Amino acid sequence: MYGYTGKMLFVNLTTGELEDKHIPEQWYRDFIGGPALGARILYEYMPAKCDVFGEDSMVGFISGPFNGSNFFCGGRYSVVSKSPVYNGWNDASSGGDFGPSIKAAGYDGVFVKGISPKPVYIFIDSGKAEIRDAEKYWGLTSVEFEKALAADLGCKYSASYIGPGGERMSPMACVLNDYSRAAGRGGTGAVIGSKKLKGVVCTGRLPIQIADKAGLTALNKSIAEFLKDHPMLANMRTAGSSGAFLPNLMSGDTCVKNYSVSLEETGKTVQDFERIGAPKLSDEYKTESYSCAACPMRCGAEVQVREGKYKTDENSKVARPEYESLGWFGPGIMNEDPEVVITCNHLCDQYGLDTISTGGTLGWVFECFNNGVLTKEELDGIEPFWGDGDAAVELTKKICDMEGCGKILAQGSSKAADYYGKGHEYLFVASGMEIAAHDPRRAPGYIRTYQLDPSPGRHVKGGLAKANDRMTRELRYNYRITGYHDVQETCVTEYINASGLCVFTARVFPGTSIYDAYKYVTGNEMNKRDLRFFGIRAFTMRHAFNLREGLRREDFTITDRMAGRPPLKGGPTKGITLDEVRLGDNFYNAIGYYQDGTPYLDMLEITGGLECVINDLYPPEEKK
Amino acid sequence: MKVLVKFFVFDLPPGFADAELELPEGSVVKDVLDACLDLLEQRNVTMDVNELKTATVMVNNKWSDADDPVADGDTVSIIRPMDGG
Repeated sequence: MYGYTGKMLFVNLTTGELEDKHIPEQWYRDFIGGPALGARILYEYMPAKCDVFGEDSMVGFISGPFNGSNFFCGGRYSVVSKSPVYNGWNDASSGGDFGPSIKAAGYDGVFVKGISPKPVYIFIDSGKAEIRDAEKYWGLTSVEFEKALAADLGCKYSASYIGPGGERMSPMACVLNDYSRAAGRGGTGAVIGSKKLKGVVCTGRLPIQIADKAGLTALNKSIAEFLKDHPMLANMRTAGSSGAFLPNLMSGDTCVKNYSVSLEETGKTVQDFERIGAPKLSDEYKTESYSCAACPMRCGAEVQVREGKYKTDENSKVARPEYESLGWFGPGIMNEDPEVVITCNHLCDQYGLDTISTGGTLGWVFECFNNGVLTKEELDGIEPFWGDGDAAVELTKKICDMEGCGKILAQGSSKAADYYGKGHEYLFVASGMEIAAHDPRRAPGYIRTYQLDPSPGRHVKGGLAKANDRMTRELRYNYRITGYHDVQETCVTEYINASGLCVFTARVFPGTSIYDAYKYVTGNEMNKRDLRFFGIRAFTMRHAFNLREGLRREDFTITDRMAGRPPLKGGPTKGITLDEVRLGDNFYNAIGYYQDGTPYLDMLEITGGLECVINDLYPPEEKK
Repeated sequence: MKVLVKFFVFDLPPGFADAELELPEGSVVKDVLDACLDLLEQRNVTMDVNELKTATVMVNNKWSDADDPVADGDTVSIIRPMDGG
């Protein structure tokens, strides 16, 4: 089979059994890889409604066909599991080198169930897997773990693993690789920690069969030629996603004061935050660039703070914060000091915590404190006045160590509000998930995605927001015909995520190149019709996992503030209130679901590949 | 009259320089955007016309609509955010 190894590794940590499993070839064709194929596999092998931290709960590390193919920007892999935040479907993806490494080690994915009695890791070398003791690695931060592992293995490897955040089962725990790359969202790190699994370590150089290698090489060449003069390439190489910070802050996209006001209302200007964005952040702190596997963009960078109280360890790899982290650790708490942002971001990377959820929780704490809802006593003596960077660092350290109030805050803002019994009015969450630094009041499509994507609160699931940016202001807030664009953009993003592409760069590639590449790698066609069927199938498979858990539309909630209730009093989104119900209705109509979120039977039948969902939703006796 | 145009556009190359544009009296924001299209062409930079026309615009740090007037000495900021990622 071209583009795949055709083999999955299934591991039971309770019994210590490892099994090479060959899933049906049709599943690869129907679901491609990544979150979509992961959802199909978990739907088959993980019992419904099981305890997220129980023995039956499964977690998957899964590649896509572009991983290891050398197609440009095809280096992302996904982790899949049930989420401890909202007890529903979770997928999150990450770049770096791990995706291609799973395949070079001989597998398309690794699926783990059971609970080990002691810390272990899964080691895979060229098609041979074993469970190894990880006692000595338990408790180590990402840099400590990677250094210790490199010294012990003495060979080139790539690992996907958790930090202390996952080991302590924080619902904000992410899954790390390459020191600071993270499949950040939804708390899969906690699920891995509950299994006493430190991670999966891969080594090997097994080749992947490519259907048309010459075609793929020629395509890469044409993309390289196209990108040579494209402004995006220069921008990404210089600034990475930090290049988005100032435009997004000015446009009303960024989370100013925990999304409570516009920048204009704070009395600050974009110039006050200039050092956090491009080019100053890179000019002052960047030491070198790096890239994910097979990526010509090189948008990643390492930084160092060379002096002062936030001086970084020269021997530690410190990542330049991405846009979302800049937003939350910057204007999200009104901090103007880039060194505070770098420090908070690095702490999260070290401890394996999602920077968006951690930053979003800090935003909530700051607002609660400044409005007299949380007290100094409840925060272990810390007084997080708006803009106090030292307080932000202290609170982040406490969250990382799960010490004092940090133990409560490490559960995320929603659970912290429940614990304290207050502050719910300041939450900016979707089904309990803090959201990224993209304001739905600027691009209304985000609110449908944040609320109704099977993994709620995500900014990388496509949808109408992608189309919003090409609309005039009048069209953007006109909800009459949003469904078509919403489904169309969702389908494209489902394909990008499943195939292992980078959501940043894939949309810049010329013409139909990302679909042509699928044919060159796998030998299978991906035309417009195929794309729409695939996208709907992929979304529905992830959605069906939630339906089987008993989750319905009303279980997917957003807080009122997210929809502009009450509306902002200034800035570019002044006075905006969103109609998230209508946006959801339009999406469900266009994709082929009833308003409660149940897919139509005929849609499931026409789409194909969803017989398992049909059997559960429309059992044969009911169909009659 | 002359206006200073500043670009906060993610898709433009880093360091894409500010520009002083000469416009006729009575020009409005959308005229500035049209002039920017010519500027981009002169500088050999490709950008989707629709993306520029749907940009957020601030005149002297105040949010502005396409038909709002601009005056001699104004600073016009063109803002295009990045979504996702």
